[in-house]
Amino acid sequence: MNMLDVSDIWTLIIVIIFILSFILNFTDIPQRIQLWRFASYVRRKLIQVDDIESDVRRRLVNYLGSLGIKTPREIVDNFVNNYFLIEPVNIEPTDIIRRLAHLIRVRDTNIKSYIDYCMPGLTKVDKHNLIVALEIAAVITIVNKVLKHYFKTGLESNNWVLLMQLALEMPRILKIINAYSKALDAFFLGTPIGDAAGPLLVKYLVGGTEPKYIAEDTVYFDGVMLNNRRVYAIKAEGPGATVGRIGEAVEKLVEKLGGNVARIITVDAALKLESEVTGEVAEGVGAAIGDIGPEKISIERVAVKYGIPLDAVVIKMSQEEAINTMTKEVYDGVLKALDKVKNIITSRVREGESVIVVGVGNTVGVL
Amino acid sequence: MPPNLDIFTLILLIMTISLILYTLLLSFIQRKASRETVKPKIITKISCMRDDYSEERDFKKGDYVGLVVGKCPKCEGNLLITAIYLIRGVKEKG
Ligand SMILES: [Zn+2]
Repeated sequence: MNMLDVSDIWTLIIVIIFILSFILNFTDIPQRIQLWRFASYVRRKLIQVDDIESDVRRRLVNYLGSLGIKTPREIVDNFVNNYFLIEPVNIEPTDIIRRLAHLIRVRDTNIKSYIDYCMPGLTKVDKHNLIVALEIAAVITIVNKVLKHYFKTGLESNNWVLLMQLALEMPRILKIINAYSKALDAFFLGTPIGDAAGPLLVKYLVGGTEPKYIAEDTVYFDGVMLNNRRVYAIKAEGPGATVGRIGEAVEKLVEKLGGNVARIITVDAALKLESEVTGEVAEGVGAAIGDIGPEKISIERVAVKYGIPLDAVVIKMSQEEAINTMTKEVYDGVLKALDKVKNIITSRVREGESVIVVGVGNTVGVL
Repeated sequence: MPPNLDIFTLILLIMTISLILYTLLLSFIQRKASRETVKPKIITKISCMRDDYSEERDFKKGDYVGLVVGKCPKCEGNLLITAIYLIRGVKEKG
């Protein structure tokens, strides 16, 4: 302490505080440093996303190879980069649902004919499972592209807010991508997934009754009696991975029965909130179906046309559980929901009346 | 107090050490979290149509709910796969 005395030190501190506050308030230096930190974090996470994407491609190519396909890599690449869907004009809402339904069906048919063309002779089950697996690879590729787009845009324009948002969202996005990547195995193996809860419940309800065709990839079961109530049931056609055309099927079945239906009960998997427990069963009103519109509106329209009450039973699960092999908790939820559905039928449908139970969801692994 | 260790050097020293400790601790926690893996297991449940017999085995590729896998040892009815689900195994550290 021989060079500076106490008052000199205080002067020094005040000068440093002054300079620091100037840097903090009147320059971009702190933001630049943050930008640099967030960018390096996002870059690390993007490498992980890249790894997941190439891993998914590799597994898919191996799987196609095991099905005896000669050029699996080309098939995967071609699928992943194509088959987008342009949403119909929505400033003119007349018949928008019909136009959307039309486009969805055209895309669906195109994908199926692409698979038929590249890989003739696949069984229906393998074909359906493969389409979902390809869709998973496509989703991961698109997400990766979008993430990289925002990352590059953020860097080029020095947009530290954009990079910060990206960095904060990255763990959540990575978790979802991981869930999708894991889900691939479920479709390769053909095990039921969490989303198969609805179809599984229908299977338990109808037992060994023979399924009958009603709409593309969709079947119905007729004539199960439950305490003198006639139960009709609808689900996608298993055990391949498909969600079928549930709305169209409900519409056709109600018309076929001439509107003589006391109730329509839809059963579906629902995303749980963080505080909720997997396998919880809840009951409400409406059409429990998570499509982008056409199928749901068909159910609502036909219910309104004949004044049929719509009941909804949902089984709660996380997004990860919904797309991966069904867990014991979800399975227990299905059994609970089955009791609930039976309860609704006996308490709200009079003897001698008919009721339609609709098992909504992907029927992979459930006949 | 030693002559070359004044109060400011001491504060600086403490801050530097705690910063290094904090960084080390953070990376240690992250590494520990990523090392814990869960080994799940897929179970196939088989029951008789008449509900007088049931068994569980490991999932095999090709299994699906509703598949007939044989005859019941008790009543000669069909044996069906009635459920396939995943049970989470014990947490393993590896
Ligand atoms: Zn038996």
